[in-house]
Amino acid sequence: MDMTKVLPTDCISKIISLTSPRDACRSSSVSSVFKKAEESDDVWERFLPPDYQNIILQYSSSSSLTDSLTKRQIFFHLCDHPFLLDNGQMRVGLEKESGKKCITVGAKGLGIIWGDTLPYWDSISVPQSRFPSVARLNHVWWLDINGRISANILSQRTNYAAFFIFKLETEHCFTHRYVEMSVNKEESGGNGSHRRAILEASRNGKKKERERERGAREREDGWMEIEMGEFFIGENGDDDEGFVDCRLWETNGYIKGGLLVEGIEFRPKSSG
Amino acid sequence: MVSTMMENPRTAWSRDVDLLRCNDATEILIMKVGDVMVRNLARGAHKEANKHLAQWTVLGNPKMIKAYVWLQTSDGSIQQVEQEIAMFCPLICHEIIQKGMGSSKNYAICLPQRVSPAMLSLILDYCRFHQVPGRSNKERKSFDEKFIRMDTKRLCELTSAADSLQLKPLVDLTSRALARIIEGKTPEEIREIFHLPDDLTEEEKLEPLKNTTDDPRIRLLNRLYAKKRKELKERERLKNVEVEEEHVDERSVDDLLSFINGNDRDPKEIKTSKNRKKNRRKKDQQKNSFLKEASELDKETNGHNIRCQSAEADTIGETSNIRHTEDDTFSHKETNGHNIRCQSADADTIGETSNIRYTEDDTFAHKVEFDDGDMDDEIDPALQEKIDREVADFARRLNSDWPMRMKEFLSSSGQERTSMHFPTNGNSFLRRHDYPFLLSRFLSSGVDDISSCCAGTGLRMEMTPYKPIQMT
Repeated sequence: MDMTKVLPTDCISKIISLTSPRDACRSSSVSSVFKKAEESDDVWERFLPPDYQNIILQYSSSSSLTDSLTKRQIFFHLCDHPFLLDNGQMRVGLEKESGKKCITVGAKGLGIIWGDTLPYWDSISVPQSRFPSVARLNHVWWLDINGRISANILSQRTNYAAFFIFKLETEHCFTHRYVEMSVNKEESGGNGSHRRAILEASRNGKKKERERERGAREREDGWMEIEMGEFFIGENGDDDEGFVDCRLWETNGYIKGGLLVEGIEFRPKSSG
Repeated sequence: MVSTMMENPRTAWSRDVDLLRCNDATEILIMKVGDVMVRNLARGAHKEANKHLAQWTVLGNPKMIKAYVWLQTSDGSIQQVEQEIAMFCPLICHEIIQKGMGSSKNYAICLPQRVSPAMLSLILDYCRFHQVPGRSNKERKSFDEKFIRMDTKRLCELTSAADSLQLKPLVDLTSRALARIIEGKTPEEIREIFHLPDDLTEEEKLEPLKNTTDDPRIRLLNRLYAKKRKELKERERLKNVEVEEEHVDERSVDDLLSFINGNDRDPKEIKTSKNRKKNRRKKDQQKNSFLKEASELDKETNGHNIRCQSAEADTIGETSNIRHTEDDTFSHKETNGHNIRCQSADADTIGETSNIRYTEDDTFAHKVEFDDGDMDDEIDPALQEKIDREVADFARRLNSDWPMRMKEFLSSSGQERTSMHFPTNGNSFLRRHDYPFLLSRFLSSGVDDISSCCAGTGLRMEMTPYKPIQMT
């Protein structure tokens, strides 16, 4: 007996909305009833972050965008085309698998020590970046980059990881040299994470599995990324859960250069 | 007025009586309490609803006689249920309070059609447990978990019944259970679990999320075309690999045809396996170069030639898998260049039941079949002879009519829009060779719906969900 004859379409929509975006997409090729149920706004409204309308309003002040598109279209649009907000300092999108927010703080929004001083750092425009400008390191002894994000703009009940997005123009300064990285969420009892890593792609097959995973990796958009640390955003009980601070530094006194910094990305990390 | 309900109902009541000086004061109170209760139930706020239920029962039933309501299920049977349990369902609550139904057998509340007696009894079990106010959250949770342990069919029916009675907490519970079942399963598995018909066309399944600019069908076609090209290249590459002499040349049609004719001088002669192998390789070569030419010409003449040439190649190369195509498609019209196909079909073209899946398996399958044909006794000589004759005939025709046909084709391709004859095998799947043709026609004629393109040709576009090509 065909189950969809028993269940009305909005029940099916409700069931689909309790799965995940990936399952919802898969369900659209099950049968015509499922397809119809999947396209309903009820499903995708649940997958969108609760403040998605604010995000869109920040981007385009007219509400015509939200009115004319279905929730489903809005979801996928946000996944594939993150919005550049805050004067080009922040990029907000959704992670397709889970629908959680994925936020990148661009170089302009980071606190780079000596970042404004011209001989040391430069602000250039690079075609591969989605940000209007990235920071380029010419040469510096004290490398210290800070990123800060307010915890309540991230999605709740999610495990996040911070990734440092960069490119190496010349490798010799950074090969075999460790940089320190830390991620600290305020009010988490001061137990931030701290690690050291080398800013290069782990090409060496002899490296241990674990090390290789946590080394720098190449992304699909041509940049490299390295995980700085993890943190968890819980339920937003209070108004202000504080900030999440990320820091990358190397201050051991040798000269470094040839680093392009696009920004720091915060995206959901599946545990394990 | 609501807040006064929280205090002792009697004081509130007496106050109201003074206020209204009406005998129906009790009824008004009952209505008010009932309203709040219904609203709470609908919201799923059971604790609040229970409080009001208690007050309501007291107000309406000062002697505290256990009250029953009469419910009628979908099959027409009527049963008596304790009122306080039945009231847990907003719909029933609504019926009792606002319509005054359910007080006797004649005025039984008609439950929605989705509520069968079995489902009603399950729902009542649920209500019976949860309406008791004293239970802890842990107890309720563990009851819920045990409660939903039933087969999927019942779970669906229960969801449906609970939904019709607006019993939100139960709907949530069952929906979550069903969601857990669906999570992580492939569409086929889901179909199996719920016994759903597979009623989406392949195209609909593959229809990607609509980007505002792209037409998904064009993208699909492009993808398929790319696949086909890749496969052709693969085939070439594989055939090149197994051949000794590397004749990768672009011989003209005439050369090749004369070669064929020369090769098959004496079909009745029993070929030694060596000879056969050589022949096969040469034939493969021809096929190979045909295919190469095919991909060249493809770009020039919109693929018409390909079919005739590759059809011919098929004839030569795969004699072990000959099938007759439908007679319908072989009308001997001399009106357009599509004729070529008809003639090649005449030559007992091979039915390659290649649907659009383009797996490498097909290529290998043909080769293997050929091998088998070789390894067994000679190819049936009579059949061979027949084939050779037809090939020669075809070659002759081709040779003589070629320039004329080309002219015809080029002039008529603009006019013909609807009468498309695709050579198909018995199952009317598109042969893989037809793809470039179809694509080019599609693109050139501006038909924006490929299914209408194929409509009326007896063709069924069969596409399988996108899977990476298995290169075995």
